[in-house]
Amino acid sequence: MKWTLESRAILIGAIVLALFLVIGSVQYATIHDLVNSLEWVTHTVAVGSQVGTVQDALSRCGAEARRFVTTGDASPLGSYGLAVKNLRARVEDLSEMVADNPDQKARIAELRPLLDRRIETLNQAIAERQRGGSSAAVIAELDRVALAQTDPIRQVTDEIRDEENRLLGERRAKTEMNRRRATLLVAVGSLFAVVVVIWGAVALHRDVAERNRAEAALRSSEDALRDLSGRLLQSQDDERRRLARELHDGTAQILAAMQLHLVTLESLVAPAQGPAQSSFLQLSELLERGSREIRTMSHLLHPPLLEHTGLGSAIRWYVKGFSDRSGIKVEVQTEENWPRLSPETETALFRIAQEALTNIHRHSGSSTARIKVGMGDGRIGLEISDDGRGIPADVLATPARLGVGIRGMMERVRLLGGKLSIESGRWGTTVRAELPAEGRDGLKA
Amino acid sequence: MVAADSYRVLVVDDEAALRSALRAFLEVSSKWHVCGEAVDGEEGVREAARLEPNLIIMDIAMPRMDGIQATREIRKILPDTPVLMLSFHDSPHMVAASFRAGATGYVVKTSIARDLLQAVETVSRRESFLSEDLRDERPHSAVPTRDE
Repeated sequence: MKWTLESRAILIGAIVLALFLVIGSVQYATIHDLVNSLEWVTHTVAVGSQVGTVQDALSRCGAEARRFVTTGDASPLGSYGLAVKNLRARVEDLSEMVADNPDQKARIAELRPLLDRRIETLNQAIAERQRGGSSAAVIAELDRVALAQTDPIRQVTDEIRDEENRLLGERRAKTEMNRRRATLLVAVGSLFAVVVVIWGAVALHRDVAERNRAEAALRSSEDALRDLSGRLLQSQDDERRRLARELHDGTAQILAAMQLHLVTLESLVAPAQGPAQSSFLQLSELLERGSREIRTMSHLLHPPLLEHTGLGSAIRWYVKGFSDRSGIKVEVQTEENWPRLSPETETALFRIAQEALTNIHRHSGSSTARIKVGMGDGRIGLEISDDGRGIPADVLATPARLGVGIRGMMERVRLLGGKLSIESGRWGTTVRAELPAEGRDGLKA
Repeated sequence: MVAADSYRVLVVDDEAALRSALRAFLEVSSKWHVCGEAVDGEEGVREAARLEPNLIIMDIAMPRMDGIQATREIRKILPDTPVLMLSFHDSPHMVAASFRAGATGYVVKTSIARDLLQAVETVSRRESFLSEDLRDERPHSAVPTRDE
């Protein structure tokens, strides 16, 4: 199977896109894990901190109760109540924070009655003091049970904290691993992107260079084609001129000599009579007819007037013969006293007029035509119009569908730096050619 | 044998076959004698000056110097010698240019067999002549009338 440049580009593009998608997906998953593990680390740190908060809240409860018991002043009782509420709230928060961890949940469950008992003890001490118990006795009782109650609490909270510290260590390690993976993947992805960009730039540069080379080759080929086309037209003109001269200087002269020899022969064997005379007469007429046909052919190939007297008289001569042959009445408007133009310009304009009239005869159905030649501002214009059926718009809009003749006209005009336009409609067709009026000396006429 | 009162004709044409045919055609009659031939306009002018013929038959399209230019040159040295132009060109412009240069008659080569004898006889009387094909449309005021 042979891959075209386009299908190869599509395949490579698809592979690159797929690789980007894979790398992107893995990067997304890794970064997601990293964020997740970071959240867990944060959570674990928060749980550890919350454990400290619970311990602090408990200490605060103890301190406020002791202050009341010691002083008997009721003002710390408000703070005590708030401290108890705060302790319970902190415990609830902690409970929610470790809800995902059954071991920690169990520890919290273990902690709750311990805390309740401690609070109960503090409440009893406050109540005892309020009933009038002595400060020293109540404090002594509090101190007596304090250690027994707070040690288990500290033990449970330490276990909770230890568990969180262990988890924190694990989660930090996981986070670090995820961070490394993410870094590696980002680096690989970036490297891949850089490689793709460089490769793309190189390929683009190569493609642009190749395209530039192809365009240059195309331009060169078009130039060569135009050059060839110009040479072909020139060669065609030269060949026509050569053939016209061959016919004129060779065949036609020989036919004229034959005519003279025939008349001479007739007079030498004369007086010819009967069938001999008839044969002489027919032969003479045939020779004259042949001679005329050769001359017409020669002059149509290359009108001698184009060399001897110029474009205007050559066009008039051609139009006379054209009208005789086609029955189309052609009105010619030209000036008599123009300076002579370069042979290339005169030949091109004559051939355009010739081609346009031929087209009128073949395709237009018009019984009349007009030719105008005008000069001014260093340019010469030729206009050929008819009153025929016109060229269909779709044909006129597609150069490839125009005949070889019209394209030949365009090429002749282009080669001489001029322009050709064709207007056509139901009213007829008008062909306009405009060329620089270059004189015989190469200067503007 | 050349008759003493024959017309001496110079034939100027670059085609040898036609020069030979013209000589054969004219010399059937003792009235005409081809005294010289030239292959181009330059030689035609030299031979005309040297031979001083009674009549010159001149082709138009020739190398080096064409028949119109040669006629113009000959007119300067032999103003009265009739020059009969021979050409395949039948355009009014070419005919007018020939008469402007000093030609006395103009024969289109396609009808040479029909017109030549009458043409040489007419121009030898210094009267203008145009081939029958050209008479339909009088090409240019430069063509003199028979009365001129």
